[in-house]
Amino acid sequence: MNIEREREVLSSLLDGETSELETRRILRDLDDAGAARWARWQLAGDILRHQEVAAVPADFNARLNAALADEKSRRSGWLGGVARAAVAASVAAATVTVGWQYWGTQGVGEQPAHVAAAPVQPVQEAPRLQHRPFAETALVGLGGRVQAGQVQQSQHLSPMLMRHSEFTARHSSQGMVPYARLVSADARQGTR
Amino acid sequence: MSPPQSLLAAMASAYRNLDYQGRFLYTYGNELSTLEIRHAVIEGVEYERLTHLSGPVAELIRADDQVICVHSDRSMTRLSASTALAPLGISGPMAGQLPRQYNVLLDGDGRVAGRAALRMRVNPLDEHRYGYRLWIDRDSNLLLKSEMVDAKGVALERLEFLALDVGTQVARSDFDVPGAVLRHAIEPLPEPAPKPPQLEAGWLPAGFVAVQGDLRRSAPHRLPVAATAYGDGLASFTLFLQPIPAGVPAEEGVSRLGPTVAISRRMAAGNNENYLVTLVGEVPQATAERVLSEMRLPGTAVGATLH
Repeated sequence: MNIEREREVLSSLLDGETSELETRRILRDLDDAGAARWARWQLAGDILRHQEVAAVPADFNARLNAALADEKSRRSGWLGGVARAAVAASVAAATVTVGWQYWGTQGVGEQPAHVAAAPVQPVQEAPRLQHRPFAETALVGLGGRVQAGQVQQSQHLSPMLMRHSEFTARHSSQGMVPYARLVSADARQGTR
Repeated sequence: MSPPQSLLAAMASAYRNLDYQGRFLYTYGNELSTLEIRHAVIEGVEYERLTHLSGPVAELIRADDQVICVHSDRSMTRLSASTALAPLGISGPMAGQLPRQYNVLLDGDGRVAGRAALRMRVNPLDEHRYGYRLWIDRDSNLLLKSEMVDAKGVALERLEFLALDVGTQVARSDFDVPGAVLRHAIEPLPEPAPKPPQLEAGWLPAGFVAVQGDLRRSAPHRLPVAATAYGDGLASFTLFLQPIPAGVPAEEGVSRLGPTVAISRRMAAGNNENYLVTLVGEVPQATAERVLSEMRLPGTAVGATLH
């Protein structure tokens, strides 16, 4: 399968649009790189649906890093720390909400934790700076198993999204569209 | 102005000046919302109300520049008007010429919500912005359907009216704010406020200028968050800058929500303070990444970064 076609297939899988039989056939035809991509997508989908997150395969990190290697080289250096989410977000078309990586207490100048094979340890102490622009955003590409506590989400839309929408409504000539976007996101937030 | 441009200007004017109500769909990916809009100008004040019809209640009520979001738990957020950086002539909705970075053409007839429409395409001339497909009501010039499309022509979001009444009677009481249990405010800071360092854009896509900025406080730490909005007349993105207090972890990341991309990165300023810079906007992800990668804080080199 070429990547474009694969994305379509993964997208329908993620959206639950394939039958069980189709799903099995697709999985059989997927190569390793595709499987790694699929794992990443599935993770995003599970978190989005607030389902129990399935254990990430043991070689998830290695596979993902390999799959990302060439994509990373095309990207700005500073994105290294968030390349997984960046790549996931860019391949996700408009069908799902994806992204966000979390580095906890990582200090200035330290290496980002994602290069380590060990799972990211959940952070226990100080409240973290809550700024996630889309409060509902899922976490993608975390090393190791996703900790349930890390997926805690605000009940409210982020002030950033609201402020951006306010600006956009005033300056973008898009009429009601920015407000519709905002109200729609707000309502979806309420279902979670 | 060319005929397509005049039509766009008429559309922007109709949106703000007419009385109407209707129902429309808003979709992206496999998300779908049904919304109701009511709009009226009463005694010189423009009122607008958007109500989410399916699922949880969410509303937005606007009286001129005052916007209130009513969330599903019946709490509210008040967004007060902020200061325009550019004269409204530039940023005002489609008042003047369309930015040079687009071309616009009429694309024949269509029909939406049982009304005759003119179809129009707005095509970007570079890869730093999205395009639009618009259906404009022949009678009222109101926007009946709108799609934001990426470079491959894929619709990133769609708004489409199912029913629209123009010139209908809408009462002032239709815009009353419901009783709510909680109020949040994204507050302007009292002067003099501690100013965060100014962001300097090392690179902006052609045609984008700073159109609006403010400094607000927001929960949970009540730290000042500075925001600057950039626009090319159609597309826009907003840059947020907030200090990261010592000992408080911050998050970096990239995410997408329909046509909107958000990226956060940490930056160290010359004064040894750490800041989180976040871009939220309807621009292609690669463009957003580049804007952030060439962002500067005073006392730092271009692209200085933690990673």
